[in-house]
Amino acid sequence: MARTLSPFRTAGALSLIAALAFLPGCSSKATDAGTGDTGGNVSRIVYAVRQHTLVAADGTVTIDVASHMGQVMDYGRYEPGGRLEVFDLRTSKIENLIEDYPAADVSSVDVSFDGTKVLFTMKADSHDTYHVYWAGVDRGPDGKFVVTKLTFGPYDDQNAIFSPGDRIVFTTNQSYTEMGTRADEYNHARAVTQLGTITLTGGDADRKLCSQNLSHIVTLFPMHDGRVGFSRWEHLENVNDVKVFAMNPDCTQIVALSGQHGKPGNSMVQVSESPTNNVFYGIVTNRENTIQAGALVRLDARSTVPGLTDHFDEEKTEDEAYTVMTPSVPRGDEPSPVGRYRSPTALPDGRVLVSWADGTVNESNELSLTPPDFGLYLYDEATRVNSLVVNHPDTWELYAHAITSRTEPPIITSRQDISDASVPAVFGSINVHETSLALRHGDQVKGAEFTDSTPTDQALLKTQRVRIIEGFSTEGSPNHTMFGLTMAEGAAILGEAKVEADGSWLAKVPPYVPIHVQPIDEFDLSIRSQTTWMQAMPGENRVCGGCHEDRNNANLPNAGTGPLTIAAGRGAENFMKPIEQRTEYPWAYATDAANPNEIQSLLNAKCVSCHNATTNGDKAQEFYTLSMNNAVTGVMTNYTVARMDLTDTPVTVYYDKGVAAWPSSYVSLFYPAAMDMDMAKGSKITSGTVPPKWAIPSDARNSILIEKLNITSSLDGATYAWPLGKAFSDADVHGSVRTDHAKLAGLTRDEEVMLIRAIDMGGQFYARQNSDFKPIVDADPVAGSGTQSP
Amino acid sequence: MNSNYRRFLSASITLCAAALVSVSSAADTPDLTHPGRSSVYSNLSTNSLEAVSTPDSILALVMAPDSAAPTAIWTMLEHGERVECLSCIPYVSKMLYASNAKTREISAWWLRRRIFGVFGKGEAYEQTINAVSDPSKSELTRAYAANALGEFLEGAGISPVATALVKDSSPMVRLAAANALIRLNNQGPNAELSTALLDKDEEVRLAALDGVTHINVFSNVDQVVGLISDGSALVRRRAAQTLGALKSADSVMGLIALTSTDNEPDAGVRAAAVWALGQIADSSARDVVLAAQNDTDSGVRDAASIALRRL
Repeated sequence: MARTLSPFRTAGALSLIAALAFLPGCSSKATDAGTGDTGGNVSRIVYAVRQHTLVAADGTVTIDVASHMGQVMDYGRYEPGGRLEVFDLRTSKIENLIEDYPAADVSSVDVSFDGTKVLFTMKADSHDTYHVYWAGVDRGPDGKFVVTKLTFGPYDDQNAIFSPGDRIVFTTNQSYTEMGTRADEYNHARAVTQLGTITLTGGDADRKLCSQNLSHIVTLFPMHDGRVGFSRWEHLENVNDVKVFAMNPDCTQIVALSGQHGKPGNSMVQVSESPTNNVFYGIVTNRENTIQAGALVRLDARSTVPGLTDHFDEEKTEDEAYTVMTPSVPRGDEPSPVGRYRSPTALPDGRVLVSWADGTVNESNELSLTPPDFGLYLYDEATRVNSLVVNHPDTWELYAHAITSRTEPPIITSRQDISDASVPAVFGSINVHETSLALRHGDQVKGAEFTDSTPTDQALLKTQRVRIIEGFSTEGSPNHTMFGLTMAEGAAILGEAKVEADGSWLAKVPPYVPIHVQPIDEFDLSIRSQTTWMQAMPGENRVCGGCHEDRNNANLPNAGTGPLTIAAGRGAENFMKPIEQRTEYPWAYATDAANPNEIQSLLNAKCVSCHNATTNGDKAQEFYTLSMNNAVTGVMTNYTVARMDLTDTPVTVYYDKGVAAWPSSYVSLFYPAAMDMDMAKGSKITSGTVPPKWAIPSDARNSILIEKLNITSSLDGATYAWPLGKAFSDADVHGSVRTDHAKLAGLTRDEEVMLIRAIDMGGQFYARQNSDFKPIVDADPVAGSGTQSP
Repeated sequence: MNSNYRRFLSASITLCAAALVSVSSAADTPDLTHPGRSSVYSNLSTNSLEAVSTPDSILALVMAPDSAAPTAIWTMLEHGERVECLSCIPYVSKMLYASNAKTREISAWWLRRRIFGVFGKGEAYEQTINAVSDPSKSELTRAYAANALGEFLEGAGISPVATALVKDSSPMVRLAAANALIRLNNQGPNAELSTALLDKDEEVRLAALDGVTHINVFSNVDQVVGLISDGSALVRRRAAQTLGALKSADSVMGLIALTSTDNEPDAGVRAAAVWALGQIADSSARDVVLAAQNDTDSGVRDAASIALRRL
């Protein structure tokens, strides 16, 4: 958001810069200033200076606080006049490494392990994109700083860090899927930042793109063991936060590091590792509204299991893993009485170099003419004192690092060098029954055969198959407003892998694409829907111990009697399929009218004779009405929804301009759950009663439609998911006791499974098979080239 | 600015003495994250789940948007993705024409998630369709309407914004229309995005070039090759980058011409052309890329050393 200042105030501010340039040496940290050493023989630091106040040619002053900073993972901010400064702590001398780039902005900074190079990402001018550069920390013989550009493409490469062996890992919004640029539907279909790697010597010539996530990846950090850590926006239906992950530098073995099982706020970002292995500093804050700033936290991810203390334990709870170092700083978006922090890095002596700004540091800054002023400070955890290092007024000093050599982590030998998307990745479990979800996290399952809440480890014993679901976003469903009355992304089933007697399963799946899995029972109902995306590179093997097995338990008691699991001995099931052959359930208006998976066709054939605009079973159809009072025009409009009209009668119509209508079936089934989401259904209904939650996205097990239909076991046709003759779980269901309603309606078991899958996958209306999506053929998905299928 | 002075002159700040504030009010607020959702989410921490706005809180904010910070509006609507608030729709519809670009964007994002009240006859979407092509509206209104149609991500908006892209007299509207087509992931029913590559306005041509690598399918790469000789150095630079990203073998000769200071005075264009030749990896470009290692500009030399590794 931009606000304007008078030219007079700017002149005052600019003159202040010169006046205060000497202040760092006058800071209260007399000892450090006297010795010229802020910690551990560090004599110089490097950081980015970013602008928020601009003076136009006509003297107009513009202050920009939040644009492209609104969310912690936003990455597009550009304001000209940025600098990359080296500050000598002994002499207070400041030099700008990018003095030849007056219109530049810098979005990330790192220092090489030998302390001789600064890696940074820079947008040189307003028509440029962010690219990766390195610069020497000292002037060359010609008196200039050597600045070398490593990437050049028409996309933004940011968050670059050094990895052992002169490898560089960064994020990019480069387009490279078979569906075009991956565009996060939740994030307004914006291009998603993914991970990529280059080398220091080869730059773009060695460019490699990693497997994809549906949402942004930000703020990378090197780890002591050679891996790459990063924060990742996890948006999988109702999950919506930023957690910490780790990956090998060859893009393989992406694993959760922290935040899966509790953290002191929604987003854990800007992480760096302390001198103690697996102990990290980071920022916890709200996902948006805080100008990417928040409370300073320490994450102790070290395993406490004897013999595994050099491993991190991602299962630690918030209380076990996190220490909020600045308890007075909010972790939400409320005004702070003591400012907020950004981008901590540890010095060799254990102190923490941070950016800090006083004041509320949230969206209310937009309403004043006082943008937060981030400067650099040393934070002493013992005393909770910030000591000023350097702060220029009217600019932000961010991403500071000590210029010092440090031990280079071991090089993790690259085991993955294939970029051929036709080479599958392999996923599986040694024993899917193994889980820590119940014991360590109290996870339970309820519904259908689990009449009482059942610990997940017991429920998983019922697993028959593992459903593998591909996630895609707006790129897979162009020209449609959303996926439906759900927060879920687009979904397609790649396959359902058989779980063998020893609990093992194994499947080949397309590489690069994000997937999540659901163990399913004999009724084809999901027992649990994994709430984290997984992905793998071509040829990569991602076999887990179980279904979220205890990461500290190396010995799986039921892992089979031989060296191979049954699934491994049998061989992986092959779910490598082109997009058009993946199983989707377009609710209606399938592009191919003969699509056997269109839900509306099934409803038309088996259901609408009884559930239509006039009748609902043996009763007259009932309706409830919502009203929109247009206070702007004074017009009142009513919208009526049937209790259960399963026809494709359009509910919302915009005939002449071609907006697709929502069929009554979809609205009837999913609107009750949508209404329940906002806890205010009573306030909007002007007549009638909202019916039971017929269909709950991702939860067929608790969807009343499925309970009403009932389904038999795939193992025993006489066993029902919901015992016959018992009361429905919602007393408002007509008929009062359970029957085999599916049999009455003439639905086959396979047809019931269609409905179960459509709900368990997320309850989407749109799929690729009922949108304008056309796959690219002859494609190199990694390069993003190819032509559209006819 | 006075507060800045005070802030800056305070060289040491003790945080431990600061008043403790309530950092989380979660315990006092009703559970708005679990109802109506899959039971699997009841096992997760609320810190991991989408916080949900209430209809009342949305309505209070959108009725008086000028009293709130833009980011507060963004957040409220963002977390109201699936919140049904019919009474909010008329107010949010007005915000499609707010002065803040992101407020306009998020307003469209929220509206497009409505089953009721937006896409019906005479409702907000139809009004927006009509506005983009209504010459009686100001160019700002037409441009904002084009923005909104792009953000609605609804196929019905493709035709009107494509028409605006090639027909509207205002560069501002054409630029908004180009960006809208890109948001709609479409080159237009008559490849209007290709036509826009020849627009007389530089910004429109640049926007259209951005679209070439961002939409699912672009069918007229020849038109991009033609921009190698555009009068604007910015357009030539972006065209070269685009051809490199597309690995366009047909553009090699033209790109080769751009690598020489004799033909191309702009170092940014030369660097982009050299990089593109490396991406295309046609060995016929090796000599000129070798020569570019001696360019006077360090950026061109950097591009040459990287491109040579692929040639």
